Amino acid sequence: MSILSVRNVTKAFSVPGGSFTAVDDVSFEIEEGESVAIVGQSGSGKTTVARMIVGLETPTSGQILFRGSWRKARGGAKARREKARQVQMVFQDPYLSLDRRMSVQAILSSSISLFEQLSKKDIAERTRELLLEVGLEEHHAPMSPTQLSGGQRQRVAIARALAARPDVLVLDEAVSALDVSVQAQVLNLLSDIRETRGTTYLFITHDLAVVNQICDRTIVMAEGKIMETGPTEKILTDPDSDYTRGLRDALPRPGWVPKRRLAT
Amino acid sequence: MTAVVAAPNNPVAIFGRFSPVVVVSVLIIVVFTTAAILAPWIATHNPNEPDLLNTQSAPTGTNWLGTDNLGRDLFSRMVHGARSTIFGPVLVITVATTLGVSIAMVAAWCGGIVDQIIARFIDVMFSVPTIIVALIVVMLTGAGLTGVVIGLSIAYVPYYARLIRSAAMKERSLPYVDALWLEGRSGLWIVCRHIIPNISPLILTQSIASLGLAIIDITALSFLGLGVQSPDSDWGVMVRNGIDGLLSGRPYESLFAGLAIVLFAGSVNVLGNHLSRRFEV
Amino acid sequence: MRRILLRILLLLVVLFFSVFLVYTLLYLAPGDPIGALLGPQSATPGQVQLLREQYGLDDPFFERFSGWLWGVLQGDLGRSMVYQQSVFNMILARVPTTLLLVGLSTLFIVIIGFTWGTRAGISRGAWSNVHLAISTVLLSTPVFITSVGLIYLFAVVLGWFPAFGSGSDLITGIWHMVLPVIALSLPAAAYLSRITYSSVRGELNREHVETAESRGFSRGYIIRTHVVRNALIPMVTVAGNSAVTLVAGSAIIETIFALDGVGSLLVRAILQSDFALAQGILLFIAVFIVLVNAFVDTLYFVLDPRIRRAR
Repeated sequence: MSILSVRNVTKAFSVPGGSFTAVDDVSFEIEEGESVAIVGQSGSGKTTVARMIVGLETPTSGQILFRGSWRKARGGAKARREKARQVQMVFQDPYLSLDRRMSVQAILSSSISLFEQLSKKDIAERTRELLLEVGLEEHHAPMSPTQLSGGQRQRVAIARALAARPDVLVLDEAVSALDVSVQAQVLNLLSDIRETRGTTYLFITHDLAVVNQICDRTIVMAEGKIMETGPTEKILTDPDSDYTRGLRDALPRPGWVPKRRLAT
Repeated sequence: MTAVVAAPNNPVAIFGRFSPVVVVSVLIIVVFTTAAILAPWIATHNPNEPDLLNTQSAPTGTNWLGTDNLGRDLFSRMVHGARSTIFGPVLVITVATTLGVSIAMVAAWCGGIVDQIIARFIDVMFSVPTIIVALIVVMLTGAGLTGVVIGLSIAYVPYYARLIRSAAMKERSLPYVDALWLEGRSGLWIVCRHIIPNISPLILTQSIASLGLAIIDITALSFLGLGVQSPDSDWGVMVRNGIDGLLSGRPYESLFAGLAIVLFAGSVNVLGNHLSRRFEV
Repeated sequence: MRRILLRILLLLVVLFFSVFLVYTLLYLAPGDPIGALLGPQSATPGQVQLLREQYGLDDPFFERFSGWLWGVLQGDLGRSMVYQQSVFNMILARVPTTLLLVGLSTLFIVIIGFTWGTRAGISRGAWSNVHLAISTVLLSTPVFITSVGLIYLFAVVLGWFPAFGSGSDLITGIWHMVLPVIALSLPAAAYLSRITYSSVRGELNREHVETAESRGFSRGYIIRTHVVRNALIPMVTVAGNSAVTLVAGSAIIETIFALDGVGSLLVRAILQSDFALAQGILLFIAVFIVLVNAFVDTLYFVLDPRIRRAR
């Protein structure tokens, strides 16, 4: 059974003078332990798919299943907590996804205490473990996010998502706000986590370099629809659709050099 | 790293450096407020006891600021009157802030139709002058400090609600709120523990700015005879009461009370401006 | 055309709701109107019942409201219980005083605030600091204190102007208005000058002004044509808001200077619990506020081509 199934999901937003279909009848499956990317330009509907999967948006029609059971979008705090154990999310902007007024320690321990009934001492211990797991050090704990670099903040955000011990991690442009060298470090960290925890990843990105580095399979979206889907290597080297080819050629990045250039 | 990072609870880090004008203003606020709190111990006379043999006196050694038309000691009346003049507005602001912030949070958190209704309602309230709202309430409750405080509290709500609502909407759209929501925090928790604390500098600044206005409004209503009732004193009541003396060339009561109002309201405004520049709101 | 009709319709809806609100609030007001009506005289329960029927006090709420509204539409605002006169006539008799006060003040505010603000905005250096200091003091001084100060200085010490009263004809009427108008205008004039100051400053730094300057147009010409024109929009907003606050302020000013206007009548009506009178005046003020807002909206429309095109 797939860990995550998206079945005929459509999302329409009402806008002045009508409605706008952001996601149009999209279906796909993600298997346990896979690392899948949804790529597309801005406005392709990829972020809306991610927000529906985690439960920040309600699909207009269609269903999202986790191990075969329906993930209803609405629900009280307790239902959301249960769903967080299934799927958690890392947001794009590490400057805005952490409460700027809280210390790293406070952010992590408050998340941990939501998911595990632990004593104060054990929570502090778990916080330390999480910090070390994401490559931070103990002296970062009392700091405010405003005192950390972008990469460090994103590590805190990942640690916070891991506090729920989720089976699936949705990463919405999670490295695109970072410098290229920092991007590589964070992606390496994510690879390590995947190896130790066996977490399933869903990357939402416009950046094919990221896809190339960490994803087994890629789904290409445009204008709310899936254009094509297949193993990452095939999508990057020999895509079926012209759209994907255009996307690939339009976004050259260090670490991934278009083949055509090599030929000249 | 040896550089000392300013601790977030260092007063200078929060409030910025005080210019001399701000220092003087804060001093005036502190002195007047202390006098109001300690009124019974500071006053040299019973503020409500007339002395018909010693009316309209100029300042002397026993009556430091002179006496009024009934021979009551002006200094003692000033000090006692400071209580309603200072704490009345503080109460108004406390109530208005609580109501305004609650309404703004409901609007910002619920969004949609609830927000639309609240926004329209705020707009309509906004177009009615505060004094008129206060007058209507005073008519329902009868003249007195209670009616004035309730009236002004209601009148100030739209000012808070409008400002705080837009700040809260901005805060609510930040991804950290989404993250907390996904973790399974309740809306009430997120609003009270995260959104309100994060916009608290704005709330504080707005409160101090409105405090200046509330002092002016509350003394104006007392001046009209709608607020604090005789024989109790209030700086607005004293300005009114002193007009008779003023017309016969003895302006002390109106002068001192008026000066006290202007100094206090002005100081609060200076502090408010300083804070709003500091927090860039 | 459809938009204009829609606006008028919206205006009527807002008017109806303010009227309804005013009525409901006073319907809910505590106090016994019959007691206020009878004053110190005593009456038998039968007489009280007769009076209640005569004033329709026992009818259901909506019946009373629609009856009252129908009366209002015909210019009948009921009778003042304290003065035993028609509320409509009482208000009408006092409207000229208030209109004169508010009208002269608006004129004064616009002239003083605008010239002062432009002056300070154009000049660099000391002028603008003086402007800032004076306007700060004026803005944090309540009108009743300014009034008392003016009375002391100009009526008691110098004896130039009368301290109280309305005057008997137009000339003495305006003479009596000088101090009230100054007292009512100063804070609003200071505020308007602040707004004018900052919008003039903002406009002066804009590219189109620099371009005009580099083309060799004189400063005076540029200020007249570009800067002042563009600074007009925020001024209209302020002027509209002031007109509304002035009516509220007139309640204070008229009471201090013993002017026989609508504002002082409202304060007296409230102090004497004369509900019918207060209701009538509040209704009058509500209509005034709605009309001023509509007028300001129209003025935007005329002044700003961008808004015109957008509609």
